[in-house]
Amino acid sequence: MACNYHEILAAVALRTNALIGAKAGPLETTYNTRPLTAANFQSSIFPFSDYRTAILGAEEKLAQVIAKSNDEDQRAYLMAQTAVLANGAGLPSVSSGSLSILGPFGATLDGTDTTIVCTPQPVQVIRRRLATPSLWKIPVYWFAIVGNRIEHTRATVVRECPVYDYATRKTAFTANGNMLLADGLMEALICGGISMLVRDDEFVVQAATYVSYFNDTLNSFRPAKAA
Amino acid sequence: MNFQEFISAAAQMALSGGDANESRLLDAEMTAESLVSSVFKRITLVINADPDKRALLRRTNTIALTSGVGTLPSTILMECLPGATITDPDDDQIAQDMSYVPNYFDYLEAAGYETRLGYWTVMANATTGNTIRYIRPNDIGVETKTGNVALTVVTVPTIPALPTDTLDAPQEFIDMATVALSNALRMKEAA
Repeated sequence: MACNYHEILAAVALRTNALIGAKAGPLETTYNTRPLTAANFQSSIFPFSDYRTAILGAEEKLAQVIAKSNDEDQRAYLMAQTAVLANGAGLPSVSSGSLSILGPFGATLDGTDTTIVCTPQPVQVIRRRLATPSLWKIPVYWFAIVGNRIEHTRATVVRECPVYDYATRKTAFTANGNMLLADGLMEALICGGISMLVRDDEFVVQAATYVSYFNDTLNSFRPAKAA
Repeated sequence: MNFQEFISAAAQMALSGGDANESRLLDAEMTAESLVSSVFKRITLVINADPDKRALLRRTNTIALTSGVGTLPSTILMECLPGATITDPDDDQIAQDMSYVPNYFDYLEAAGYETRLGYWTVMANATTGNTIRYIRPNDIGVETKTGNVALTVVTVPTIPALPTDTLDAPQEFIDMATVALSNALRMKEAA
């Protein structure tokens, strides 16, 4: 990932006439200034910080859709792991780093050796296994999800989970860090950011145009099949 | 070959001839393990039935007797006992005089009728393991032997304690058992 947030910010701000520079030369200078600050902005409609809110809002929408999709390559940008889960534990809503879990879990991994992927089995089989530990010598790496609980045959397991944390992204945005998602989604972030910049009757038509561009990207992710 | 490898080989063999992704046997290790004891016993009986192969599994089992009574290891099958030899470290000549008498009533009768010879029998006991009873020549109908005897007989290989433990069985047995376990998983033959 090499695309930083202020590349997107510049593109969004330009389309709402927010960058300082009445003529092409000064506008070009402002457009390429990094990092951009409130001093580079002249809009009386949208304050500087609202651009961050709009762009991160678009990123959140993309993250939500990607998290619920079966595009594993894109989900990889969001992936974290839960804390270790004992048998019978409730499924968490936050990752091991206390970040909000966005969408369906990924693989279930052995809690001791996270290179080992567990496979699903009916809960009855797992319960039979757990009820008769002295019968078995060959280790099995099995789990079952029942309601919001997980039963498994390991000491502990962890689950992969897509996460998004607004506070972390806000810090990255302010520091002109890299965007969270793939570079190929830079255009979608620009369109999504512009589509959210409407105030009273300002930029309504433009926002409607860009939201359709943004929706094209959102709709390109295939929803994951129900587990 | 260790126990884990044995189970994995049989489970993988069971997937042959089909799409593994579609197979109900894809995660069959626990089912395979549940069949191992039966498969080992069945293959042991197959080997016991073939005089040319019995030597593969003939083992000497030391059995402790108290007043002529002891417990048989669970790896010794009743069906294999007619071909067994019993020896006594206290009397290296006794083996030729000992007879296996399957029926307990006959055992008692023989021990009282012909005391110049020795006899042994085995009685089923589901709780403590099968019981061996042993009367030496000249014990005159009363079991008196206390100490060890050695029973050499076709014996079921022991199931290892750990997945990484090597199977204590000849390769010929392991090959037969692997195929049998695979077939049992595929419901091609009884375990």
